[in-house]
Amino acid sequence: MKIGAKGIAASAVVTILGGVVLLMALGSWQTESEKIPVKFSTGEFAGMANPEDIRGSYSFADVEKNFPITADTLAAAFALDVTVKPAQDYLAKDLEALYGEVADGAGEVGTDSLKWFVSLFTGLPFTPGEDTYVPRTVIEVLRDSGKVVDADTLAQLEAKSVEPLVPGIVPDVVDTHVESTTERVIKGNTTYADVITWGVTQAEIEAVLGVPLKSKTDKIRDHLLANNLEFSVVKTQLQALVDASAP
Amino acid sequence: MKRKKTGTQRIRLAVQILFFVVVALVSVAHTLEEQGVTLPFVQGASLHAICPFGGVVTLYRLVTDGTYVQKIHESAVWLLGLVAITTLALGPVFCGWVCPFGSFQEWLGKLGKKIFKRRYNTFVPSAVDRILRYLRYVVLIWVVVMTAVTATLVFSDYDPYYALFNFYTGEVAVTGFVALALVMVLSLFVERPFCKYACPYGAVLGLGNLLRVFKLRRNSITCIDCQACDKACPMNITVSTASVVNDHQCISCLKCTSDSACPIPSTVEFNTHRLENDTQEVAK
Repeated sequence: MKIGAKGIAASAVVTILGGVVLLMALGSWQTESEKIPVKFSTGEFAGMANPEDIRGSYSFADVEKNFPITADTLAAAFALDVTVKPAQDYLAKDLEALYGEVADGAGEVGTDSLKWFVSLFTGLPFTPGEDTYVPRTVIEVLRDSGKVVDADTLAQLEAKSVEPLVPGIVPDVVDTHVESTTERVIKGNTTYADVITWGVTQAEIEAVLGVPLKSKTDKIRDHLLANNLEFSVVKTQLQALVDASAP
Repeated sequence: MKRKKTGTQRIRLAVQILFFVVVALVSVAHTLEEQGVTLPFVQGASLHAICPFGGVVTLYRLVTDGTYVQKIHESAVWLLGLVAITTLALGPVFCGWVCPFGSFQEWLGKLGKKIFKRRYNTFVPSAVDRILRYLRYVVLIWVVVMTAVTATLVFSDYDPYYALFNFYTGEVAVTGFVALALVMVLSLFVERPFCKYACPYGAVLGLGNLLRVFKLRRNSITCIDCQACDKACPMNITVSTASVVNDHQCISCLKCTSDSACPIPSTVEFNTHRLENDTQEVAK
């Protein structure tokens, strides 16, 4: 049996395009992943979603669906402007577009940064690459939420941190806060959240500052510098309040 | 007679244009959808999702892990199956009729033919060419192994096809643009250089020439040894001495057949049985 151009053309079009149309009709034509990361198959985390498998196409809503972390927390950690679009609508690969290469090209903030943050926030294992960086706000969110308190991890994060997109403006979405240190001494990296945890109220802090406290996750020193306030003076007054509220 | 011969390649050109436009539309629609714009009647999809080679590279992970390599989806595996059906029946019809990047090279080659005329597609010495033809199997092995090891699309950064259809997206690596530029320049000298020397999917489909049901056959009784078939073959295959063309580089384009270049009717064609049988039957 011979086959010519018409036969081959019909075979190609019917088999390939027709096949695709048929698959679409049957609901089997999936051109996007279901946004369900692969699960750990063994060990103590067996059955839990693996942060390693978070893809660039995942929205923060997808991450929220698969891991115990909210899209708002993700947006806060990466200092994303939620007035541009809702936190849920940000994609993992947006981080690469917004931050891209950092530290003079030594690394980048991207999907791996998100994986790393999710891993630290959830306690699930993930090993970041040498070139994986995070914005400094990631550290603040992790510390203020009590998810990361050990000095080694914090030091590792500090070494791989860069300035956030909008320095100093971090959406205040982290509800749970635990002490980042057992020593109740105000230092350069102490946040207002630390002080509040030590028993000082927001109203008392604002009375000392003379300005409203917009973000509890701000480092005190950075916030004071931004508002032309003397760190040593405010520190002394706040430390007195901390000492007075000591149990 | 002349009209009929032109018609065969016109039909192929129509199919090539159809698939080129479909792929371009789907790819553009995907980019627009990411920006919140929806095109009417066109469902966008990433180029990876509609490339059957994605099905090849994800097979290992699909079998061992039950998941897909990053950026590859179920659609790529389905396409792999659909293309396999056409390949088993007709050989690499996908390469000669469907693949938009093959078509793109072919169309650029028409410019090369105008510039170099008969010298076109004869620049590579046959001894070198013969060895280079196996390079695509090296590429295939490298891509499959590295994709299995890293679970990422390692070829994407070097893929000129991806670069062609995504050049405006900002997602193409510099190496992809370099590969595309190289293929475009080479296409002016050599017909389908990427298909011949580097395409890993072409390497897979080329094996279909050994198995295809409709084989490219030459009737040695009616053949007048004019070698018109050899000159017409874009892949430089010597058709004039073979009774059945099993060459792994054949792309089932029909250019050598009696419907195109061959001047003798029913002498070179795709058929399920030996053509000499027909001639002997007629002689009886």
